[in-house]
Amino acid sequence: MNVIKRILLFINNYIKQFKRKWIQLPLLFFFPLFIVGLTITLFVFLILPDENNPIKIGIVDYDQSEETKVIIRLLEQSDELGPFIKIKSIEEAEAKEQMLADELSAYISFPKHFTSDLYVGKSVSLDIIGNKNRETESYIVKELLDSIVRHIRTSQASILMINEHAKKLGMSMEEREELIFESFISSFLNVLGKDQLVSEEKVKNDAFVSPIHYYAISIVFILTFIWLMMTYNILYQEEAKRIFNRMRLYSVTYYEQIISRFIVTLIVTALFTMTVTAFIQYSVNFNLYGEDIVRIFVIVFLHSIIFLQILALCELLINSERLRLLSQVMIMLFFIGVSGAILPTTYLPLSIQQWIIYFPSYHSLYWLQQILLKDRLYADFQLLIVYVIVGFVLLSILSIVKERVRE
Amino acid sequence: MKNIFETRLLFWKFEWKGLLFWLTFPLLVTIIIMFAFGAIEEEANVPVGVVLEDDSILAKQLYESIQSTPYVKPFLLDEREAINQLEKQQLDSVFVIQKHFDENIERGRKNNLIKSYSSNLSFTYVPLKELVISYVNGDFTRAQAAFTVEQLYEQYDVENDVNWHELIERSKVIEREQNLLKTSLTFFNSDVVEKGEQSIIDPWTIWVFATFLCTLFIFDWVIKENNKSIQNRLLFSKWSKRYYFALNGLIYTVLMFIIDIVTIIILAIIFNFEITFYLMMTLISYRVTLNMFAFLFSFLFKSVYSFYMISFALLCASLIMSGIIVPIDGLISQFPAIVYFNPFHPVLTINPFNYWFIIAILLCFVSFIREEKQHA
Repeated sequence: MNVIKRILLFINNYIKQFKRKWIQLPLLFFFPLFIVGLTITLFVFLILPDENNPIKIGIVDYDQSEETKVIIRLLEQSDELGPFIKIKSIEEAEAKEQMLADELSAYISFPKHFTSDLYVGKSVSLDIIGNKNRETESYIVKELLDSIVRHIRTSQASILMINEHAKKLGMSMEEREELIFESFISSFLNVLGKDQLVSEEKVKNDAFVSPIHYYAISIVFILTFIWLMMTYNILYQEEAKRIFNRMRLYSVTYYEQIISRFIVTLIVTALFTMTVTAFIQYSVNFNLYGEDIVRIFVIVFLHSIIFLQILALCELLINSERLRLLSQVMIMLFFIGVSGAILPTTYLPLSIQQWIIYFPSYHSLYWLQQILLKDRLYADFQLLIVYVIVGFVLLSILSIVKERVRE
Repeated sequence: MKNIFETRLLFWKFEWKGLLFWLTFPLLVTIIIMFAFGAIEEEANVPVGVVLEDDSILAKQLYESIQSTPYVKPFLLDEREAINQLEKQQLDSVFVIQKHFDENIERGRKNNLIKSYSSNLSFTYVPLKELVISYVNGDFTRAQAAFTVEQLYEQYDVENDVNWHELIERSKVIEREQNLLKTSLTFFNSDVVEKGEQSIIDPWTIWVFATFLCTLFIFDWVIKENNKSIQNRLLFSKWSKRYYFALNGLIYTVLMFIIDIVTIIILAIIFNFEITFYLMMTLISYRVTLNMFAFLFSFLFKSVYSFYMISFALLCASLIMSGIIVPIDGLISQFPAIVYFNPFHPVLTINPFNYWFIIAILLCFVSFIREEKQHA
């Protein structure tokens, strides 16, 4: 009975602390939202290329052979490279000027004797001169050119082979050149028309899955982590150490203090999470049934307790405040990474994937996705419950040991 | 001066473990992250489903080529199972090598060679498709060339002594032996040459941010010593508060700078980069700016714990602002002014001229004048 009384007393104390420093609450609520929101905005900027602002590539042709002229003309007119890439023929001086004016992402130069060197099998290098201000775009250009070059290598090998046989057959120089030119152009046309080779089909994962829904879950999941972490640590008071020594005279234990902090943290985080969830549900609208809400609540509740237990274990094990905070942050990042909230776990190394299924964060997110995206009417809580029990056992042992050690 | 140094040594005697840890932390964390990331990068895999509807040698070779590509892990499945796994997100995408694959290629038919399935959560579908296309197109081009050669023999009415497969093999051999066409990327008006395979992260960046956090952590001495009980003692000494803190800040800066140099030398040896004059100058300007900032910032706090928490928040904000978490090149090219607001931009691009340096000096100056007035 006394235990509960003391826990209630602590809870009351923490709530008073929040009342006194009420400014902390909105900060606590908005800071993670701000950070996550900013990251998403940047991400959208990254993955949605601007159609009005395509990657502009210049091609400087020092070779001026029939072949390069045809290639450049085809590249200029082709839509195969997508609407985000514009290619134009340009003089080097002009290219440099436009680079300085930041109008060009990169330019490629075809060296002198490019084609004839290719035909006789001399080593040739295509140089890309990138714009330092548009580094990512320059790397995209490099990727693109590399992929074209891979195709051209095959063409070149084929052409050399045709040339070998044509020589053997005693074709005249002129005839051979014409033949080579023809095969070069035809294989280059193959490169441009390469997308024809694959007929594409989109599979709908589920009636309901869209990346927005998928990431909405991840975002709330990550936010919950950050709120738990921040609230729990804000409640930790440095002066508490001295007061706590006095309180121990009244047989107050670490354990009671930690439990009461759990409860306050859970209440605060629940309020925050529900606010955001309501907002997200309003804007993207998940299929939810009454029972689902209970299941989701249980999963998030159990998972939050497990995370808080780990934070508390860190607190008991690590005395240095700086080191403790750092390890708590690291653990949080690890939990988020392993859960698959950012990158689905199928892309992780196989050796990690074997162990991942036992991690509470992966398990929770998996069932949340099953319920919300796949409309499953079932969720498995066993593993989470086991973790919660193990966590409490560990916490009790450690807090008792720690109290003994102090004496 | 000497006395202050002795007092500092007394402090350090009791907390040398913590101090040593946070001084060496940037070095350790840089090494750990670089190696951990390298290991994950190497082992990362993209699960992709391959359906072989055609059992010709050409189709099997295509599967083998996909298999030998780094990062890609193909699974041989039947179509129904593959699509099922794709729906469950166990596969990134599925490629079906259609019936009569080799026949169609030999006859120069482009359609119905490969069919692909992807979902809207297939993150690596586009590069995978490019990969498969490059293999198929290779087969296609070689088949065309072989066809051209056979035609030539017919045209000249000469007995063809090499068969189709030998022609294809020959062109593969030529391609392998004569890897002649290369590309290179250099940057305009810059000495930096791209070094082929580039990792997403580099040791300098990690070091810069680890140092940021550790410097803030180490400057908690300001908060610990900026309290009544110590101030009262200072009153009885010959030092003013100003003098005491400024000199101690200087001692810390010298200590950290020595550690920085050692760290950079070790990192340069491990990760094989060159210590240029510019890099050294950037290091000095970063260290001085950062210390002045940490010094002034810590005066704003009464509680060490909230200082630590705010340090993390600042670190988080700086990481995002510098485009470490999500690349921000696109944003910068649209709004180039952004970089001027980011104090880390000159540091990360190894440019010693950081105008935040001047801001920090001005702020220091102003705060000391204010202190003076309070004493007067």
